[in-house]
Order: sequence, then C-alpha cells, then structure tokens
Amino acid sequence: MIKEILILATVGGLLALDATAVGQILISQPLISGPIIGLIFGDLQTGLLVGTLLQLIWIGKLPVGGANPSLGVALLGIFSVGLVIIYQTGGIQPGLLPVAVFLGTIVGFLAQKGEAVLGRVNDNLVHLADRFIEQNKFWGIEAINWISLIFIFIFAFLLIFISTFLGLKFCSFLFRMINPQTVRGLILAEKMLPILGLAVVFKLFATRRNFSFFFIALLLTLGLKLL
Amino acid sequence: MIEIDKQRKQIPLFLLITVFLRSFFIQAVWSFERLLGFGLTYAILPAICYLHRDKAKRKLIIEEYLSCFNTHPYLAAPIIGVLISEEEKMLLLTHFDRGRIQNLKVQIMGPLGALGDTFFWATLRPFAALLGISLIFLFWDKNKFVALIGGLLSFFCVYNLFHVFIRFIGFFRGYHTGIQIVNTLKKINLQKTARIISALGLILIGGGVVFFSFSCSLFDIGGLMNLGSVYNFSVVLILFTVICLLLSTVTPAKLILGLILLGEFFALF
Repeated sequence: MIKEILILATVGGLLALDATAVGQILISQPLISGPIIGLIFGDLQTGLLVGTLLQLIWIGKLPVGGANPSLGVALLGIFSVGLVIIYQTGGIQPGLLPVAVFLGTIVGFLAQKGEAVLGRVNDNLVHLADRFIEQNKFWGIEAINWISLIFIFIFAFLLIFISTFLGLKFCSFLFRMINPQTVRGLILAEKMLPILGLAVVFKLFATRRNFSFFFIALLLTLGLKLL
Repeated sequence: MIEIDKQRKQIPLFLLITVFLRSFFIQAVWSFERLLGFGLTYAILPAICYLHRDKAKRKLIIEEYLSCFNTHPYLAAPIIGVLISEEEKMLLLTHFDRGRIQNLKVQIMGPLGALGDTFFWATLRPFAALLGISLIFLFWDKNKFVALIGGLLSFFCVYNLFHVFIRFIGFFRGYHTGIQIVNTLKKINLQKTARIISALGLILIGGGVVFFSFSCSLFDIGGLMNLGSVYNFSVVLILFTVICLLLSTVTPAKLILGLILLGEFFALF
C-alpha cells in the first residue's frame, strides 16, 4: 500500500505543477489526471469515472473562494482517484465514491491554504533573488525558479501522501463500522452525484437569455430517445 | 507588415522561442508582493542578457522587471513580446529612458488582464470538459478505446488550441507590431465568443441530462429507484432543478454531503 501511495504522490506532485505554475495545459485537471492515474494502477475505468465526476463538480470555485482554484482541484482530483483505486485493489467496495469525493473537499481546502503559504514563501524567494541580482549573479533567477517549483512539488507530494494514507485508513475503518443499509444509501448517493456535476455547469452557463437552448436540447433529446 | 530596421540589434529567433517557452513558467514563482513580476523576469532574461553586455545596465533593467506585474498569465506572452521589441528599440536611443518601458508595462497589463480569466477558465474550460465528457459517453458502448481517446483529446485540444494559440500569436504579433497588439486584442470580441460557447455548453447539458437518466454503461444508473426510464427521467429532472436552485446559496461541498444524506433517506425504502 505504501508503495502505491508513493507512486500516486510522485505522479500527482508532477501533474500538480501544471495546475498553476507551469503552462496550465490541463493535464492537472481531474478529467485527464484521473485516467492517467487509472492507467498507472491498471484501473482506467474507475479513474475516468471519478475524474469525470470531479471535473464537473469542481468547475467553479472551491469552498475557500478567492484566487484561482486550480491547484486545489488538481490535488483533490488526484487524491480522490488515488483513494478509490488503491482502496479497491483489494476488491470493489460499493459506496466508496461519495466518501472519496467528500474527503476530496477537505484536501482541496488544505491545498488552498497551502497555496497561500507557498505565496508567502515565494515572497522571500523573490527577496533572495533581489539580493542575487544586486551581486550581479544573474543565474540566481533560474535557480530560484526551479527552487520554487521544487517547493510546489514537495507540498503536493506531502499533501497527497498524507491525505491518501489517512483517507485509506479512514475508509477501511468506516466500511467496517457501517451496516449494509448505509452502504445502500451511499450507492444511491453515488448514482446521484453526476446530477450535481451537471447542475454546477448548468449554473455556470445559464442566463435568462440562453436558458432556451438547454430546454430545447432537453426536449429534442428526450423526443429522440422515446421514439 | 514587418519592418526590419537593419540597424536595430535583433534578438535571434531561437532566443525568441526560448523566451516564449519560458513564458509558460510565468506563474512558477507567484508571490503576494510581486505577483507575476518574477515570472516576467525569468521569461525575458535571455533577451535582456543578449541585448546588454554591460552588467551594470543589465542589473538595472532586471531589477526593474522584478517589480510588481499583474496580468492574466496567458496574456503575459503578448506583453513580453511587446516589451522585447521596445527593449530592442531602446538600444537605438541615445538617452537611457527606462520610464517609457515601465509606463508601457503598466499600461498594457491592466486591460489584458481583464480579458482572460472568465473566458479561459470559467467558460472555455467547462465547455471543453463537457464536450469531452459527452463524446466519451456517446461512444463508450461502441468502442471504449476510441471513446476515451476521442473525448480526452477533445477536452485537451479544444482548450489548448485557444490557449496556446493566443500565447503564440500574441507573443510574436506583440514582438512584430509593438503596442498595436492591445487594439488587436481588444477587437477579439471575447464576450460574444463566451456567449456562444455558453449556449453550446447548455445544449450539451440538456442532452446530457436526458442521456444520463436513460443510462449508459459507464454510470450504471438503470437501477435508481427501479422504476423504468421515464420515471427515472422525472426523478433526475426534479433533482437537477432542486440542486440548481440550491446552488445559489449552498456550496458544492455541502451539497455532496446533502446527496449522501439523501441517498441514505432513499435507502430506507
């Protein structure tokens, strides 16, 4: 288990660099990072499933509003996908998904807090760069650039490692304690989560003016399906 | 057209490309104090080092670039292009007037910053995600591999086509045409494009709600309430509406918890 979590944290840490720091070409987004992690651990379908779900739900802001939520979304995506896949290496656990998604919320929150800390660390790094430049050491700029990236990686690595480890422990504890009835409830919740995903994106796009597009598409597709 | 001033010392192409690639790292060292200032310095450093052999001048210029710089990360690329061309021109002037470049920098960073955020992150990305996901679901039953690759590639390509395109074209246009780039960029009516994309997105959601309730083998929903397709659809629609209404006041995190509790409630039957 530790080995898997280490792999997850390493891959996750690297992918998370794309979230804000380097390029933002979307490989950190759950829709892409999910299948990638699924592929690595041999369970592509679950990776895709969880990734899709998270991508839809977290299209907007994270609980702690403010700045760009990219890093939070990236890290919670990697966490949730990793948690579900690694937990299920021992066998499918129905009802795990909603728990993983909910725990992901906490990870996202922590990630945002961490991002603020990194921002302050970078303040100090930039002051250090100022001193380098004053001494005509221009290579200092490159050095500090890579140091900052390493810090981001370390933060992401640690967050994923610790939260996945704790998450796995929590889930095995949880699923030993609860009865089958509760598990049934979780399964039903799992089926309803995609609706939340669709609703969030709908809320993002919909205005009074273009609501009709949604409605017409809905009726048309419904008609096509029933015929 | 491109005017090549033969007396002007020009940055060689490979250096320009280096700067362009470095601009992807513009948020690597984001700080509260200088925001994107360090990233700007990191990106433009090769150009400055090439143009100024004199270390004293170099130091002055770099210290200047390390100051606060606030704009949208993708649109920093055009700005850097403009700045490089200005730096080149500066070499021709007899007096060393840094003020002009500073003013230019501050002038463009505002309007360009406003253009980017909502369009890329809050409109294009969700739409590309919806498109990719819709493609995956539509073709999942026919050929899983094609569905997956097709869907993910759509997500990746639709977004990055706009993303990298704007950075690339913006950068080289900014370099060749200077400050005109601001007018050019203002002409791209991002708001209209955003509205079109939103409308398309809504169409996908409309179809998505229906497809979802009539099930697909990826999200095995066939058994929700065990009541057959049309009742399924009604339940889904009701839930959808309720959640949409709730989203104005409740955060998605609490709604996830809410759905778990709702599931528990339904499990009682």
